[in-house]
Amino acid sequence: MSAPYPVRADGRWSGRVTRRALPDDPSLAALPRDTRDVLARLWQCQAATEHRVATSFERVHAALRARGADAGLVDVSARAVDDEFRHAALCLDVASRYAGRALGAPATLPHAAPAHADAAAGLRPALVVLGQCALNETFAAAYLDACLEGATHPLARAALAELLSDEVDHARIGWAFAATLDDETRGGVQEWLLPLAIANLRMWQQLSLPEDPAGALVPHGVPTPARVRRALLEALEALVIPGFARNGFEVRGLGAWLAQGAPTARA
Amino acid sequence: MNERPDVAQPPRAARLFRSLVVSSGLLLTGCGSTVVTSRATGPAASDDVPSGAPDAPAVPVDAPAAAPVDASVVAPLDAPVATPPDVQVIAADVPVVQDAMPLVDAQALVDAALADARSQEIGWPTTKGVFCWGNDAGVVACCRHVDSDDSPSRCCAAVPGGCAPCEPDDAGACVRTDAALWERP
Repeated sequence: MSAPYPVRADGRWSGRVTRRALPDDPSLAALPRDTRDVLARLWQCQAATEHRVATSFERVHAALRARGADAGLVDVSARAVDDEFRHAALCLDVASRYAGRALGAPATLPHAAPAHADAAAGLRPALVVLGQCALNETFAAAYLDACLEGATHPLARAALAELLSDEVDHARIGWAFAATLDDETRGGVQEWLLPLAIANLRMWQQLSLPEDPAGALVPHGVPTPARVRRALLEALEALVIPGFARNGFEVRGLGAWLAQGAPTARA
Repeated sequence: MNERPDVAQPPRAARLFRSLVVSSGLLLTGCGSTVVTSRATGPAASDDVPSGAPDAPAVPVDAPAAAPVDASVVAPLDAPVATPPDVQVIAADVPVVQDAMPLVDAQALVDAALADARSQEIGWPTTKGVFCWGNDAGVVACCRHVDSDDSPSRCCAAVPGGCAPCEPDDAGACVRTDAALWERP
């Protein structure tokens, strides 16, 4: 199936969407029609959101260049733009397989990202990189890991593993960048850590998944809402907070927030 | 929290922490061949994610040997054999965090953070579906509410800077009913 998204010939897999071809999954034919439709819609929606995040990585790439960041990070962030196009193509492919027919590309979603208008201009690029990579992509990796935890169908597992392999690199951009910050920038970022985490977690908490009381979607890589909530808090506790601590940030504020259940709105 | 060395992290979390945080230095110039391949056409630092064999055994975790490994979990990556010396015991990689602050101070800190305008900014859009609807025509609308008072079930469409109210049309697509942007408080 041809991809309706531009995938660069010099991208991660030399113009291919995935490292390996997705497996045929004959078991899909036995699924109830409405289950297939739900799964097709979910993957089609994800194609739209993955496509949107390509724009996020254009901003990350620009931010890293503006800061004169390590060349390795600049290069991987450029690749990440193409990664997100590949993700969109992959998700649409999976959606079409669940639908049993070729689906069209979803409408392009508008992109909006935090402006960090209250930050000094020189600090904003660092906030962009850390917000998108250290926070958002780390939550994304944890989310995909939770998806994989329950997935048993070959198509879902293969697709999720492909996505996760890229998200890991995208998160690494943020953590490697954090390790390279000078003291002045680290001090400026410090004041933003908790607000950044609150804003990002709020977005993830707004993730809307279908009601699935029987757990019929779990084997197809769609975790229950409760599992997602747990995965996000686990990511905060076991990845985000230790990650910032490892890179020299004061994390007691984050810890206090977590201890209260990581609320993202005032009671 | 699990920053203390004497508190074992769950195997999944430990593996992710090592993959995302500890091994992040692999992306930096001069940290082996990883960067060269990842920015060209070949495998990246996370090359060894077993995309075609997701049930492959996990890469040996650098947690205590007694920690059980969930073999059902994909080892999200991990550093090739020649991983730089950041592959050490996770507990040793994670700094010990100071004692928790007094409860009253913590509450005040969190309250202040939630009232902070910076916390009210929109977050980065996720790569996953957020309040999305689609139909066979390929129309997808996604909402980006940041106001907890708004119901996630409300039909709305994302627009730069906010969310526009809309209603589903006969085809199931979200159609804006109000030209004005939804503005955050």
